[in-house]
Amino acid sequence: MSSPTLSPAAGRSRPARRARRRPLLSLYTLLVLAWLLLPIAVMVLFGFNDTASKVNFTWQGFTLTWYRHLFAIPNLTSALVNSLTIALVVAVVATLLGTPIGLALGRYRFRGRGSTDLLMFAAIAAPEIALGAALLSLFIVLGVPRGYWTVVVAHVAFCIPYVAITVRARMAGHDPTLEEAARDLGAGPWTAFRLVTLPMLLPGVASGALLCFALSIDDYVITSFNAGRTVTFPLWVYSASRTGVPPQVNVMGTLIFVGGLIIAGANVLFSRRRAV
Amino acid sequence: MPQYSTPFVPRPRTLPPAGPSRRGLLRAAFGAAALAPLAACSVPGARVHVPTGQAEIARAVSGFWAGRKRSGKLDFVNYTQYIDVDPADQSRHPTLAAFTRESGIEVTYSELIDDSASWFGKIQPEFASGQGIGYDLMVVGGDSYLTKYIQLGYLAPLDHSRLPHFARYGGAAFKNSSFDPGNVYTVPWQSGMTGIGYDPALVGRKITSWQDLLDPRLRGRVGMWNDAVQMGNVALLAVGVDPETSTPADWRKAAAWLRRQRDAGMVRSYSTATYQSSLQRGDLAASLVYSGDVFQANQSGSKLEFVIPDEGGLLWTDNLCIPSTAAHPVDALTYMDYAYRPEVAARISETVQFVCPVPDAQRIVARDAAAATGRRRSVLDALSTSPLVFPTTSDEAKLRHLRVLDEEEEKQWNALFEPIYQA
Amino acid sequence: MERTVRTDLPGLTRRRRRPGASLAPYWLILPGWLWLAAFFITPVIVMVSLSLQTGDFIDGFRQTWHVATYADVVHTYHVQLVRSLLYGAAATVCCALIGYPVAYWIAFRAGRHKSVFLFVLLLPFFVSFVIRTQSWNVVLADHGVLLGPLKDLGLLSDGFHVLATPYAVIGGLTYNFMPFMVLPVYVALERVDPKVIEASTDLYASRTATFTRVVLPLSLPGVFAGVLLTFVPASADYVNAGILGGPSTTMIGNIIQTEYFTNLDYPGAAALSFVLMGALLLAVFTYARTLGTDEVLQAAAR
Repeated sequence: MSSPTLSPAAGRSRPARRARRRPLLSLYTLLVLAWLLLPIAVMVLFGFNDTASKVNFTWQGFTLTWYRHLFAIPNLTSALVNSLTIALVVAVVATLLGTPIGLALGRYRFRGRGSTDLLMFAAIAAPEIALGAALLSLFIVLGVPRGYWTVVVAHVAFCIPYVAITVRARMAGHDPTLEEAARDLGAGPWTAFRLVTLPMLLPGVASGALLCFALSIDDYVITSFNAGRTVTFPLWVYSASRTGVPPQVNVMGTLIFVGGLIIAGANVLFSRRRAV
Repeated sequence: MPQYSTPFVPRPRTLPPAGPSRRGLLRAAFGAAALAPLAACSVPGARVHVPTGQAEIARAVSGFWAGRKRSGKLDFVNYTQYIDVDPADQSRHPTLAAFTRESGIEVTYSELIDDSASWFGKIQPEFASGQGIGYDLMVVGGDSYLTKYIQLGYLAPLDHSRLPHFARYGGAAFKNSSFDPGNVYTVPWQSGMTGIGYDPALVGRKITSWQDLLDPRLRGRVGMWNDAVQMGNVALLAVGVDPETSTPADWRKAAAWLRRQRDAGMVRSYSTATYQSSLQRGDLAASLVYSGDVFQANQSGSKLEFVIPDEGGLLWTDNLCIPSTAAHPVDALTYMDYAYRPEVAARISETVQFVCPVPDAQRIVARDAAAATGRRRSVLDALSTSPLVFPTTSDEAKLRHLRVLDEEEEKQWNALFEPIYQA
Repeated sequence: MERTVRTDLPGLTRRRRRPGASLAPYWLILPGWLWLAAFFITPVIVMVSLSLQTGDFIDGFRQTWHVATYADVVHTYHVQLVRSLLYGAAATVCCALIGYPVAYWIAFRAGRHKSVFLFVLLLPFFVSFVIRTQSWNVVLADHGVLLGPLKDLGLLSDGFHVLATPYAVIGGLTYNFMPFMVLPVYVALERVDPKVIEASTDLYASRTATFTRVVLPLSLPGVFAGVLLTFVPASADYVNAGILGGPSTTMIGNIIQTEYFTNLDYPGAAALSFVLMGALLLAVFTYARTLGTDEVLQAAAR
């Protein structure tokens, strides 16, 4: 998965194409994009459905009731709160742990670089269910009850490599002589880092953190293995699906979606301003 | 998307030249030494001695309850949507509020249980680590997991001297079950029947027998479950065996019946997660269902029918029990007894619409119906006369109980029935 | 200080490192390594250890180095294991076939609005995976918004259904993992130097030839990265099979879940998880080795 940070400059890096338009391909692309968005539209729409029963899948009419009674299901609310706080903690911790790795990989040649690379690669390439199952095995053997903190621990573990790689990609485009220049101009290592490396790194760190947040809040598989009786939003939705997902879920999904839009939009604007 | 191109970074050569170096060997030795304890880690078992016989049980009861006092708090955990709610505000539960008003016990109520298996998996480590699970009262299905709880000593033996309402109002059909003879650890919370739910418009005739689920006209439109306990017991009924007294030979016959159904392409999907919505949408014509599912679906506009097939249906029971680690067991016991007052049981039934273990509640529901108006009245009227909630004696005669399995039997059972829905 | 000396000898700046500097990368990677050692490497080892134990849940599990468990689970569940890999492969191929033209269009035809379209591509990630998958249950219902009208028009037979078939599961997987394919392909295409394409047309290559002999080969690393990012999670997924599947679509993930949570057969579950992980990682590493880890990883990073 890629980070939601889209550098707008990407579009400008190339002279305008003079190739003939091919409407068929454009139409096709739009169709695929529509296909990708269809379930989201369904979700948003059914958040406004005036349904009386627990089963929310036939359109009954428009209502805002569910927005007003968003928090009427206490367990759902606490699941959402769990998801949000877990994602926040995970984003912070994984960024703190992953950024230095990305920095080291991007800037230094050192013994162990290869194995660090390998570790990052393995952690990303390992199937989620195996990661979840492995952690569960560890907790079973150690007799650790699963709950909120085991979820945090698990999420941080699978997020670290994503941050490292995002930061490293950012480092790779960075000219190391800049920092050397700062040092030569009399800056100490810390000052050079603060004034040169850090600002250059920040967009990478920010998108790494956002990526963690998104990965964590959406995770079902690893969470379901390690959550114990802590319930997160995706877990609640999955278990509610057997009796019918209440419209509040659609509303919360919509709000998370809109929140994501705003944050990603702000990020794009922010990096656009920086890029100019 | 970074807009710069990445200079090619050659893979650094970190490995020493070929051949094991001294350092390499040392490292390997270190590694192995560090890993050895990991490999040796085992998962301890926790079987305890389960008291048997009147005297021993009585000792266990007095041992557990001696010196316990009411504390004014109660943490109650339940399956989802399994207690009464205030129609105006779904987060309120009138019977719990009334209980607090009357007894002064504050109730923290949560609905976190999806099914026995996953719940057991979730709380077992907390039991095993010896700390409390944070609940004083929980609802546990009457299946092999309940047996596990008992064998592991996770449940408190109940002091029946403090459960007068259970003794007086608890329906005879619900007492003294095979998984907990004498109700030493549990009392029923709600019961339910497993039978066939179908849409008469799609099926085009009456369904009366389990064999109807082999009817070629329903090919590809039958819903079954990915639940070994229910599937196995249902199939035993289908082959004409009472599950409670069934033998492994009968199980094989039952599994063969399910396999025949499967191989004939009858089944659309084996899923406890989707059968309800699929049945209501018409994606399924007939499905294995719980009695309450059909009643609830019909309340929201469906026209489904529930049938207890001629060969028999299953009567299962979800039970209230008190974890042995409970911090407020006396309060839990107080609530247990409270739940057996007919008027309380009636209120709960009016919402959850499963089989009520308190027969006297029927009278109260009928009275409430008479007093209600409009839509609510029709719901309550339907409820008070519904054989799905208060089974008739002829229905009761057709109902059978789940087979209780020990560890070894459960392995055999799962090995027979799981492959059918996990093909 | 002595700047003049150094400008005279620029090579010195590179070599002149203070003694502490050589340790810097180790300090940087240490915390992250520790975390992953504790919560990634150790758990995998413990899982392997658990898979070799025997016993039952009530009486406990003890280490007996019982390797036969592996043979047992592979024998019992080889159908589901193979099916998972097949479904994963099918979904990956679908993703590549459907996704490549989209990536191509965004990279070469979207003009100034590239980032907008990339953003649209990422939108599904802002909606919970579980909700997205369930939405298909509504959309694809036998008489739902999609199939209902087609059946009313008589274009489809009444018994036709998509849900509860392998197609629904593969479709769900394709849907859910599509962006994992499109993005790396897009990045690779984006990097293709337009001068190369111009050169090709200048040399009178047909449009097809330009594509098959210039653009496609240059974008292959992106496709490889996409294959990797799609195949692994798609093969190991069990949510799609659980929500959209039918009577014979059980994937290995569903089995692992049942083994852990319903059967409490921890050794069997651990063995299966390890087999799955081993099979996938082996495939992935061979794949990455032939293509170069760095290249794949970097494509994966975008």
